[in-house]
Amino acid sequence: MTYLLLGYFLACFIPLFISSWRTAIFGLALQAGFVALLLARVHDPWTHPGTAIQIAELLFIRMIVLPALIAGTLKRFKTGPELDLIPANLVAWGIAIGLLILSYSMGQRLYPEDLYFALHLGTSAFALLASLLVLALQRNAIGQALGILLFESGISLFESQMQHSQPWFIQFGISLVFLGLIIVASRFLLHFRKLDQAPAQVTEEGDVL
Amino acid sequence: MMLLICGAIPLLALVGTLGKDSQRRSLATFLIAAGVSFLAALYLIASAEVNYAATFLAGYGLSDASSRLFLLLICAVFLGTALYVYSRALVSPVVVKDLHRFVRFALIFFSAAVFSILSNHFLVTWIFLEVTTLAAAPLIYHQKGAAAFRAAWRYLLFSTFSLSLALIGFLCLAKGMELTGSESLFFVSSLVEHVPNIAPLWQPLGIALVIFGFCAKLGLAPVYAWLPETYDAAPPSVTTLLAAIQFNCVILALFRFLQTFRHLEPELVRQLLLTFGLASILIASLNIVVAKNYKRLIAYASINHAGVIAVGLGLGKSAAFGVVLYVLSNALVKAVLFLTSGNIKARFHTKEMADLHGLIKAMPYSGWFFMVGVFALLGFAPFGSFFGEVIIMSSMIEQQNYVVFTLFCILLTVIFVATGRSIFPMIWGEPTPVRSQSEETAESVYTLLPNLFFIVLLVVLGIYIPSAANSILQEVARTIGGAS
Repeated sequence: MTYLLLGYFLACFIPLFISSWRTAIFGLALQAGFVALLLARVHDPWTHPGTAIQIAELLFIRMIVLPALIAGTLKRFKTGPELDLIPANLVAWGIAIGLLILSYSMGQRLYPEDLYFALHLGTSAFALLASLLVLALQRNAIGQALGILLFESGISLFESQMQHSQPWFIQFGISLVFLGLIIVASRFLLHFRKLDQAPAQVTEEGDVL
Repeated sequence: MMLLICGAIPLLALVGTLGKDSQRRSLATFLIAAGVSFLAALYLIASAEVNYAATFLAGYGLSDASSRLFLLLICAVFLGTALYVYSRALVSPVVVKDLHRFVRFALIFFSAAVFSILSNHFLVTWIFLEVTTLAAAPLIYHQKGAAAFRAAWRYLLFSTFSLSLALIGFLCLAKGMELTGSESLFFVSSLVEHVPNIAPLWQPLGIALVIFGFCAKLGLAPVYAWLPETYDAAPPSVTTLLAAIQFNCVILALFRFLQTFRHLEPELVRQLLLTFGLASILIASLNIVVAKNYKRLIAYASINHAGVIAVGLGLGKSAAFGVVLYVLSNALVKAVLFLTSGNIKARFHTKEMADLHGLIKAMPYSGWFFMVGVFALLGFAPFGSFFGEVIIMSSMIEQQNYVVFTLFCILLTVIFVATGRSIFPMIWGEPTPVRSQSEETAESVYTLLPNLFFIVLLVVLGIYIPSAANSILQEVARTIGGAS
């Protein structure tokens, strides 16, 4: 399973250094695919309904709906291809590498005798910390949305380490909430693009309610 | 059954908002749903024994003193908000436009808030809190411009982030339970009875993350930046929903968490809550000193209130009753102040304190409500907030926590002076001339009634709490570490 973790790590790490929102969205979809494969190896989805729902969420919502919604919104408004998740300078890259070392050190500290679990924890910690770095450095709504989605991806990787899966309806609720989040976030991105293109049409009407 | 009705009514009421020309119907549905939910919550608290606690829905729902008390509180605030929206819709044709959309999201928000309060499972509570966030985001920029839209986006980002942190905390605790061979279940009623066995390192990590996540969702420092911007930019009715309903749902989740996990890491919990609480009061005091906008000032006062609650929770023991009293007062004060600030804004079209004078003469009822609300906000006697603060402060002395006591007193004095200096000139003096004599200038009885009701409750909490109500408050305080 280590190669799946390596795949996830690369899908998370590379988009940080490539100035393209398409790569970032593709990276998120790939991450979801790797987590789904990891989950399928830990629990049999045919006997664990919670895991089956989680895998369905990863494959359908995170790999298909999410990229389609976000990329569709951005394409509709002819957004330029370039987007730096973290600024392209040595300081930001240095911090990202520092977070990488910190994450894997934490994994090793919590699982000193189990290399696989240490790697798993280190990779999820890196996804979470990298998303915090993205959120801290981004002023752009698209970048912030990608940062929060990377954070959610890190959580799903961390969750895939659990031996006990949650009851199916709790997992279903969590999946619905995530679907709601990406729908609301894509609506916001749509409005942001409209605001950028026609700011004069929007007026402050006052506290009417 | 009645508990489920409280949450199901708003969902059923959604049917009344369907259709393009359903503005007036939506308004009536909104009011009826709020009224029926309030009556159901009132019946529940009156009919159940104080100590009665039972689970329902296969153990996923919980009816105890805390859930019944918070249910009544949020139903009362929701009814007050519905009456306010009704009164605004009667006098302003602009409000009626897209009203069905507003009502739809408000009903979803309220229903999710009710279910989060009734939940007996931490992850179910988490799901419903997320739903309240998703429903609140479109409400924040309802009929408003770019500034409100950006505030709504920041609210969505910060809220998602803070709740996700809490979720990671629960996952850490689940991992810790797995490593010791325990089943990672998060039923509140089971966790109260059986102390979970959690692996070292995972235990403090999980507890710290959950507390940090919930505190960030409450707008406590260091993750507080979203709160003043959101409360200022959102329509007053939505600010009331956030400050008095969603806030209390998160507070109850935090109460439940402390009830079940506090004893595992008492010192860590205490240090975290005291640090977040004092830092929040400090930040609120600095911002209140320089505030120029009355809605933003009340928003910073909300951060201060959240800080006082966190300090009280950190102290625990004898402060617990003061915390419960303060939480209830805080919800009522916020409802009075934000709804009244909506009336003031509708009349004068400004939020700048320097532009407003003589509110008591210009808008006698709203002026009085605003003044009384500010007195309660500042913790004057005879309001519940005063006694809540006194109990929390006496607990500091009792626990010989003199440093916290000194800091607390200094910061509250700064807030007291700065708020009074800014707000009181608005209330007295010669009235500010109204820009246009529109139909909006009349003070509606529908907005006066809920405010009057909230103020009576505030005074009752301070002067005389009936023994039945006192027993409920004591029982809730007991769950968060108060003396039984």
